[in-house]
Amino acid sequence: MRAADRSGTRWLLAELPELVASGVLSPEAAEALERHYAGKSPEEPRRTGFILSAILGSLLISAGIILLVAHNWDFLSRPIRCGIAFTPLVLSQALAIFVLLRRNESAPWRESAAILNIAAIGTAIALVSQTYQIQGDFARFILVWMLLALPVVYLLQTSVGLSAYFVGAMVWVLCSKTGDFFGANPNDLWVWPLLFLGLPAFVTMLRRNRNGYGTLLAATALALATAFALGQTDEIGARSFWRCSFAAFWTVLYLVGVGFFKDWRPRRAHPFVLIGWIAILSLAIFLSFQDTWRTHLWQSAVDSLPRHYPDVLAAGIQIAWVLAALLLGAWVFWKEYQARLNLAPAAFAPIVLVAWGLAKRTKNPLVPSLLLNFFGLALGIFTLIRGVRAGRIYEANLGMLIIAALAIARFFDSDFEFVVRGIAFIGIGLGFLATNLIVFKRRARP
Amino acid sequence: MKHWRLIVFALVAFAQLAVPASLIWKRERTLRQGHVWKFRTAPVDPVDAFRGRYVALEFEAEGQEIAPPSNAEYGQTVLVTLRQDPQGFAMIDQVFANRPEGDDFIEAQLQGHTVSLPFDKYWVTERDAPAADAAYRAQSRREKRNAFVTVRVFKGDAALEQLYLDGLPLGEYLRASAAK
Repeated sequence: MRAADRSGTRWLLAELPELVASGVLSPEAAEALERHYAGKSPEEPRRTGFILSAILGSLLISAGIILLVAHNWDFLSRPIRCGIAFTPLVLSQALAIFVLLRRNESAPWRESAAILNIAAIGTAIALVSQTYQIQGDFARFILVWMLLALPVVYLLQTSVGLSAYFVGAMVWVLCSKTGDFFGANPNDLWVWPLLFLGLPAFVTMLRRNRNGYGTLLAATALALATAFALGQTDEIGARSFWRCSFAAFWTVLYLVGVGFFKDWRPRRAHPFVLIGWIAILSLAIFLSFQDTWRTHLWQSAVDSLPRHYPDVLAAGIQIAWVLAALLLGAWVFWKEYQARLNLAPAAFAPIVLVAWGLAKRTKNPLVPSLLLNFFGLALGIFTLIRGVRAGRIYEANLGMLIIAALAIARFFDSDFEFVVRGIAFIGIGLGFLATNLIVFKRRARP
Repeated sequence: MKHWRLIVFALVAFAQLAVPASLIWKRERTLRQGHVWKFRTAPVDPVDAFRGRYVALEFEAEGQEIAPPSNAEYGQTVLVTLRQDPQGFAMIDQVFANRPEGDDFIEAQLQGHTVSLPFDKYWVTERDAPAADAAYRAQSRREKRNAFVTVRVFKGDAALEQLYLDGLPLGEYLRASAAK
């Protein structure tokens, strides 16, 4: 049973006496219902609680060990200090072997063993470095740590470990300064192979428990790491193309939430849908300002003619994201046509691509910003109508909110007189009231 | 099924142990076989020197103008040979893009016409940290210039050995000043 259903079950069981008293249910039917649900509910929360407390406990122990070894006792000789550095590592390895042999079916055991082992790897390297005054660069330390942790993620199938791996890859790309990428600088593009290395573990997790919180954690970590990796890639590739690549990224995130997690929780959208909405709206409104399309990069050779091959590769990755957004959009539309999902926000990626193309051609910031304004308005109106038709008050209000946000953004452009702004705001306010009234009336109708 | 997991984990566990072990092995080799050089610390900004649990070190040799190898880029890793100045402190002799002859060279980072040495932190214990910080600041002020570190150098690796203040190793110096 899903976690979110449990509150409903509790409510139903509490209602039973009243239903029996009022004659809606026979006492037998009430008893049967009680028997049906009573056996199922208490088991799952206890298991989730156990996993959570095991993870928390392991994290605390790991943090404690790190603090203890970081103390750097000077009265201990170097070999003894190194011995201390290796102790948590060896113990955590022994625990992992025990778990692989005897407790492989238990998620709390696997998560705990993996967290302790991953923390111990970093601790051992850090303490040896401190003892011997070894000063490596931080990016390399993170990289070695993550590569040593990755097999543990696969062997112990740990969601927290996988999330830590993705976050580690993100930290690496943020602090890697100089380095080699097949003989060329910079080395930031290595982050993509790094993320890919974690992907099979993520896919396995999706298959096993798509709607679990562990999968959500790993998905969030992956999305976060990908966002930063894409940001660094935009710096190397076609610089003005970040508009398209990020529009594509948020579109993909939204589509994944809408298309792959339809059955996330009853009456609740997947967090990716929410994040996708917020990001798409924010970026759309940002790009609806003319100033965001005013850049000297349109003329720059860097933009269309990258200098050497990491740049070409980076531009390729940017384009791949746009293609992915378009293909995924088409696929979800084709596959889920019957489900009547709101796929309008996914039009963001192609719209921004067209806007970017127009900006590049005309070098006039007005054209792309107008296009984005129309997109925002259309998205608002479409969502509003959808909400009104289906009697979903939150969706109707979301549509109004988009229109209002767009209107507020336009007033920052300050070309309008106060009277015009005043009338527009009154209009939007009336629209809000009217929408709510219509939707409520529709719902009240039998 | 279980067996291959165990075998893979055994390999992984070996790699996990091998990484810190190789750090130790390389550093021990440098400490045993390396040639000792003394690097005089540069005058420091007292506010900036101490960061948490380590002393931030800067060296006079890092201010020395060098001739970078041709085609070298800013931030590139270069190999540096050393010589002694009349007082016996290390100075940069030559800068190479490729490995020079002999064992007595270190890796450094090219910063235009100077190089940045690969050691800039001296880790101290939690208990000694505040005293070490104060002592280092006092000893490397412009008029005193009494701080240096000893570094063992072997085949590119530079092992920071000891921080000396007023001619004494840090620990002894702190004990001596505490006894005063």
